[in-house]
Parts: sequence; structure tokens; C-alpha cells
Amino acid sequence: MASLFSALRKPSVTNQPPSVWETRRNDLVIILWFALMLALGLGIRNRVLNASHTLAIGEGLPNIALPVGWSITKAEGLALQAKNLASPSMFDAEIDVYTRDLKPNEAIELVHSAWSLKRSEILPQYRELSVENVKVQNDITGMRTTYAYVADPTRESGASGLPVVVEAQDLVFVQNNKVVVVTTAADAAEWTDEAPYFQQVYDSLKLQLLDGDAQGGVQ
Amino acid sequence: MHAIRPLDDQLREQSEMTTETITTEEMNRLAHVANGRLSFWIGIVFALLGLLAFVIIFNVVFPTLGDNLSQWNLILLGLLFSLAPAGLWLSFFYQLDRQEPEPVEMVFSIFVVGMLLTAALYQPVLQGIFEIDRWLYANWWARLLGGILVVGFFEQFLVYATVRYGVFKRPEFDERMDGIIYAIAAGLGFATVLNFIYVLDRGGVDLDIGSIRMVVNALAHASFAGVLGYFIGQTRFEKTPIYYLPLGLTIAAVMNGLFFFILERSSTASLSFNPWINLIFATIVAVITLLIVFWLVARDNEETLRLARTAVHQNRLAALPPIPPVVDVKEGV
Repeated sequence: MASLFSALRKPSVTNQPPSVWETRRNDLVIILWFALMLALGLGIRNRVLNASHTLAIGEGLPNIALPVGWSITKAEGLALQAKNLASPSMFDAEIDVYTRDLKPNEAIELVHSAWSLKRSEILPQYRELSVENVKVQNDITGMRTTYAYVADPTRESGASGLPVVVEAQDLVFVQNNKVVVVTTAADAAEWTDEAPYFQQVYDSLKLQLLDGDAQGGVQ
Repeated sequence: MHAIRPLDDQLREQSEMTTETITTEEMNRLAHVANGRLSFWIGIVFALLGLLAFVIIFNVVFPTLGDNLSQWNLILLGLLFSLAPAGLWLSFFYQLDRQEPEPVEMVFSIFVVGMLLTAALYQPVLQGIFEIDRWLYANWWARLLGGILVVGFFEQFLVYATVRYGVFKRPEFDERMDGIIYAIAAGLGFATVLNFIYVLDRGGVDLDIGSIRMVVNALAHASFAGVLGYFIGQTRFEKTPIYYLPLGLTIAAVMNGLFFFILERSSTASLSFNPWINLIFATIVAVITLLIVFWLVARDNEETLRLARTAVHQNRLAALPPIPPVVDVKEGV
């Protein structure tokens, strides 16, 4: 400790000022050091943003990865709900998982149609944007619907904020006689920022698009 | 033959290893470099007392001052409050520095450059590139490591860059203490912009809690900048090892990250937020940090002058006529 203080106090044994070369060396070294620390910081950032934990959504069903830091809540009628309370929008980005038993003679197309119809009845200003055929867990056929609607998140709390246009995707598939619907939703203005989180969910389900995009990316 | 070398020769030889012959000009330069600038430290003490008085006025004497103000008035007053810590320090410094004048225009310029650099880069880099709001508060280790590696290093590098490229090579930077003075000016410029952002983001602030927060920000950033400034001053006037300046930046960045990590943890750990605890903590950190810096500078100046005096002594010895060597009589030479 004494030698450290000594080195801090008087790093040189002479009173000579640094040469031009030494000053340039110091400039270069501190910039490199700063860049290295920022690169390490970037690594921490990426690690935190990509960090996830897996949760079971039901017996015989795949586990699902949720971003660390999202708040997991119990919502009525849902197997799982997670919200990103750090979303900048009044509408917190959310991931919902709904499951139910498959009815006799019910095909995936029928399940998807019924689900979309239900959405259009419940959600204000519902508008379907696209439907894609997908595969989940490598061999399970499913369908993914991208849609938008208008939500009014501040009204519930008695505030008078503006309504929010929400962009969302419903991934519907059937596994072990269970219908599974995974919904990802966010303020349309924040959709791009939230997309990496939603991608974690799709990656954990090994989602593949059958219409060209092999990565199963978030649109 | 065993010739015994004169003591003066031995001394001269030894001194050549550590010092070099010194001219009067060089001695004057070193005496200037080692100027302790007592006025600066007195200015710091007065500024500290002034800041505490500022907080007490708006929390104890006029706690309801802002209650009936419109939002625009609150914003305007908040912006004025943001300038208060830097204004106090600069005015005390200007008043007390008349006997040992440092160009106040240059100190003020560095303060403004610090503000401009922060205003230009702070949000684009930390919010735009690093997107700290999305991940920094996710968990405690992200807050700590991100707070040091991203926020701490970036903020302290801004202070470093302001001093290095603003004044480092100018003739005004002629004392070891100048590193600390200019770094604190840059640090206060940085803190002022942070306070501006705080006021504007919230559309004005409560004058009581807001005044405490602004003083906490200013004290903290002045302390970190003081540490960094010490290293900058050393690098300007000493031959330093390759790790020296990065070490200074790292210490300042770690202090920066740790300070705000502890503040936030203590706020979230207790159910009721008490800004006075933050103020006490910031004051203790500032006092201890600046005392350590003061002590380091004083010791360093002593060492500089001691080496210079040794060199002067060697000059005098060199001017003496040579003493004939002592002869070993037994060998008859």
C-alpha cells in the first residue's frame, strides 16, 4: 500500500517533464484503455439484454424462455404472463401464453381462425396485418398472425393519457392435444426495440417460418 | 591500489542518477509547478459551505417557495438551480484567487466546453448507442458493472477529454494543481448539464428535493474530477509509467459507478426515500476525496522541491575546485 501511494504521489524519480513521445504514448494508451472498457461494457449490455430464464408452460409442452428482468404476473385465463415494466411506453411490452385442451376434430387452421375471430371481437380497432405458416420445435405445424389494435392503458389507472397503437403477434400451435397460443405485444412505436426480447421466446420454441424466413424472426 | 573516492564525488555520481543539473529558470519553473494554491482549497471549503446553505435555504427557510409556481417558472427556476453549484464555486474561486491569479476566463471556458461536450455526447452515446435504460437497471450486477464500465468511464473520459484537448498544452496549465482546477471545472460543467436534463425531463422540479439532488450531483462529479485531475496534473509535469493515466481514469470511473450504485441501492432498500442521506453521503465522499487529493498534492510538491534543492546543492558542489585524490600510502603510489 505504501509503495502504491508512493507511486501515485511521485511517479518519477526526477523532476523532468514528459517528452513529446511520452505524451503521445499516454494519449494513445488512455484512448485504448477507454475503448477496451467500453467494449467490456458493451459485452455486459449484450449479456443482460440476451439473458433469459426458461419456464414450463404445462406438462408435455415446451419450456419457454423469458427475458430476465421482466415481471412475471398471474393473469386470469393465462398460463403465463410477463411484462417489461421498463418499457418507455405507457403500454408495457408483454408476453402471454394461453393453453387449453384440443377439442375433437379440431385442426390448427380451425384453431387459428377461432382465435383470430375472438381477437377481432375483443380488441378495439383490431386489424390483421399478416398470417404466416410456421414450424415449432422442428416438426410441429403452427400459424403466426401479426395484427394491431388500439389500447388505452392509462384509463384503467384513472389517468388521461393518449391511447396507444399496439402491434402484436399470436403464435398458435398444437402439441400433445393442447392448444398453445404465445402472444407478444408492444407499443407499435417501440416494437423494434422490444423485438430482441420476443426473439428469445421464438428461439426457445425453435420457430421456423415456412414462407421463406428460415430464422423465424420477429417482423 | 585502493584509491578512496572523495565523498563529494560519490554524492555527485549518486545525484546524477536521480537529478540533473538545474538552472535558475528550471528552479523557478519547478517552484511554480509545486505551487500549493491555498486559495483554491479555501475556495472549495467556501463553495461547500455555500452549497449546504443553498440546500438549507430551499428546504428549511423557504420550503414552500415553489408550491404556487407554474410549470414554466419551475423549469426556469430549476435551470437556474442547476447552475448554482458551479456558479458558487467559480465565484469563490474568482474572489479568492486574486492573489495567485489563474485566468478565470480559461477556467470558465473549460466549464463551458465541459457542458457543451456533455450536451453533445451524453445522451447520443449512453442512450442512443448503449441504450442504458433498457438494461442498466435489470439487476444489481448490471447496475454495478454497467455503471462503472459504461457510465463511469464515459463520464470521466468526457472530463479528461475536456481538460486534455482544452487546456493541457496551453501555457495557462503551468502548475500541478491546474490539473485539479480545470478537471473540477469540467466536472461541474458535466454535472450542470445532467441537472439541466433532470429538470427538462421532468418539466421542472420540486425546489426542495431538486436542490439537494443538484448539490449531490455537483459534489459527486467535482470529487471524481478532482481525483482524475490529480493524475492529469501529474502526467503533465512528471514522467509517468504507462499505466498511470489509465489508473487515474479507472479510479475516477470506479468511484463514479460505486457512488451512484450505493445511492440507488440505499434508496431502493429503504421504503421511504430520504434525500438528506444522499446529501450527507455525497458531502462525506467529497470531503474525504478532496482531503486525500490535497494531501497527495502537498506531498508531491514537497518531493518536487526536495529534488530541486538537491539538484541546486549538486550545482554548488560541481562549481567547487576538485579535491586531490587520497593516496594509499602503503602501496607508495
